[in-house]
Parts: sequence; structure tokens; C-alpha cells
Amino acid sequence: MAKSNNLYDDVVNITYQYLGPAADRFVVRQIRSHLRKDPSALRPKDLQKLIDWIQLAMRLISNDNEVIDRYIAELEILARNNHPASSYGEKATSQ
Amino acid sequence: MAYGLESAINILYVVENYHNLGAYMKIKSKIFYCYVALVATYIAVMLLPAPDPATLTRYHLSILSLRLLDFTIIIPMAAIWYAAFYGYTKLHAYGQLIKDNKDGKQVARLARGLLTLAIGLPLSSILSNALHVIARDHPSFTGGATIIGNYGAVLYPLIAFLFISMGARGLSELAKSRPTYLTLNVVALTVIVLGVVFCDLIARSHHNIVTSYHLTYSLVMLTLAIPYMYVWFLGLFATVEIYVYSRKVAGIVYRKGWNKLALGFGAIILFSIVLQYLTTLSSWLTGLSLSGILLLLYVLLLLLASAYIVVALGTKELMKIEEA
Repeated sequence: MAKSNNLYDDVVNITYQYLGPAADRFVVRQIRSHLRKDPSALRPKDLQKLIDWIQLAMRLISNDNEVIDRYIAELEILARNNHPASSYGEKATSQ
Repeated sequence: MAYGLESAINILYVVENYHNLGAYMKIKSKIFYCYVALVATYIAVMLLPAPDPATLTRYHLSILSLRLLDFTIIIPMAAIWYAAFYGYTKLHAYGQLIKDNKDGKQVARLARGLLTLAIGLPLSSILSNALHVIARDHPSFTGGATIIGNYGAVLYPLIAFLFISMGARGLSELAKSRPTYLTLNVVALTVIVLGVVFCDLIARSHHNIVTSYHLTYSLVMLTLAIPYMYVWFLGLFATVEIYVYSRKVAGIVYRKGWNKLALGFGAIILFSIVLQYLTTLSSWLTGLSLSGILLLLYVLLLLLASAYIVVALGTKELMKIEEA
């Protein structure tokens, strides 16, 4: 389990609905392998790139496009709500 | 520039996974050598001793046709053991990937159970054949051979199903979901029915239990029938718990892998129970024709092999989540 970070927790919470107990491990691996940073250092500006990697990984894991699209759509909503220009994004960035 | 960096990261990622893959291959190769050693021992035990004259007479066979018949048993046996080892290797590899997590500990227990079954299947066949050969040459050992063979056949599924039931219980605790009261009653009733029919068949098929089992009636019931019933209860209840976990655990994609795993484990346990039933009641089977016995054996072995492959397929789906 990675150190607490609101944005990271939100990504894991969404992922949990799709990957269950493997969610935390999956998100940590995507952040560490592709963004090359610690999950606690995840910032709103990283989110879009993370979503792209998650989408790629999910296409390798499952053939259920409907489920993957729904998952990615939820992450996109999270990204929009945490856009670096938004107040939450600024708050998260300044942490 | 960014694309180039990403490509480099991708290559590093693949190299890192290749290194991990090497570690799994090492485990796999150890298991493979173990499998080869068991198959070689089984072939030696089956083919090296002179054919049993009683078998040749009973089924009107020549030595050559008996040897050919032996091969038609050895080949499917080797195939099913390979399926069992393959299923274990996959589950073990998955358990290693998630070993530091709560579900990893439970998967490791399930894998240990599968390993016990995978090793127990060939070992019990080797033991049974070796004891049969020794007893044929030393008739005074017939009693000892029967007793050792019977206890050996109940011991390994007992250990295997204990591991599997511990893993299944751990998983259902993780998902905070238990089988319903009705399910518990259905499992208990099933075991009671299986047990009573089993005891009845033992009594019917062995007009003289002391001659067949070389044990008193009470000892057969207390030390063979009861452990078998306990093994079946453990197995059936574990199946239900794994099934409940696969239905209740969070994660739409994760659940799919576990659904296959639950199906595979359920089938392994079910067909193992059927095999134990038939092995213990083997004297009842001698009433069937040779082709009938072989057909029954092949169908069961095919089903059991398929069950191990379903476990491997379910595990592969779960491993994709951990490796992507």
C-alpha cells in the first residue's frame, strides 16, 4: 500500500470496482513503471498520462471493451475534476 | 523525445519482467524434473516387473497386449499429472506475484493444496503398484501392502484439502462473505449421503472386510471411512467458499478470473471425490468388463485434467492483472 495521497486514493477507489483487491497493486505498478514516481507524488498533471497507460494495460488484461470504456470514462471524469487549473488541482499540486 | 523516453521505459519494463519470468522458469523446471522423475518411476513400476499371471488369465490377454494396455493407462495418467503440475505452477507463480498481500497468503495455501494433490496422484499410483508387485512375490506382505496402500490413498487428499480449505476460508474472510446457512446444510447433507452410501458400498462389496482390508470392520469405518468423509466435507465446503468469494469479491475484471478458478477447484474436488470413491471400492469395479473399467478411468482422468487446466486458465487471467 502506497503512502496516502488524495488523488492516488481516488484512482485506486475507481480501480477497485474493476480490479478488486488487485487495484492498489495495479495502480502503484502503473505509476512506478510508467510515470517513474512514487504514488504519493501523483499530481493532477500526471493523470492523463496515467489514464493512457492504464487503458493500454487494461486492453491487455481484458477483452471486455464495455467495462474498460466505463472504467476509463470514470478516470477521465476524475481527471477533469482535478484539472491543474481547477482549485482542487492547485491545492493538490501545492501539497 | 518524450516518445523515445517512453519506449526506453517500455524496454526496461519488458527486461524487468523477463528477469521475473526467468525466476518462474526456475520454479517451473524444478517442478518439471519432479514430474519427469515421478513418471519415470511409475513407468518402471508398471513395466519392469513380470506381468501378473492372474491378470493375464482374468482378462484373456497375452503379455504383449497387457504391455500395450499398460501404455494406454500410462499415457493418460502422465497427461493428467502434467495438467495437475501445470495448474499448480501457474497458481504458485500467481501466489508469488502477490505474496506480500492478504490474498497472496490464501492463494499460496491453495497452491500448496494443489501441489499436494499433484504429487499425491502419481505417488499413490506408484505406491499402490509397487506394493501390489511386492505382495505378489511375498504373499505374507499382502495384508501390509493393502493397509499401507489404503492409508496412503486417504492421507494425501486429507493434507491437500486441509490446505485448500484453509485458503478458501481465508479468502471468504477477506471478502467478508460466508456461505449461507442453507448452503452449509446442503454441504452437510451431501457429505452424510455420500458417507452412508460409501459405508454401505464397502460393506456390500467386501463380503469379508477382514480379508479385503486386513483390518477389523470397526477400524475400516473409524480410520478409513471417517477420514474420507472429513476430506469430502473439507473439499465441498472449500468449493462453496471459493465460489462465494468469486461472486462477492469486488472487481468486475478480477472476479472473472476467480470465477474460472472457482469452477476449476470445484471440478478438481468433485472428481477427486469420485476417484476416491472408485479407488476404495475397486473390488466392486472388478465386476465390470475391462473396456468398461478403462472407459470409466479415461473419462474421469480427462475430466480431472480439464479441471486442472481450467485452474491454470483462471490463474493466467489473474496474473495478467498483476503483470500488465
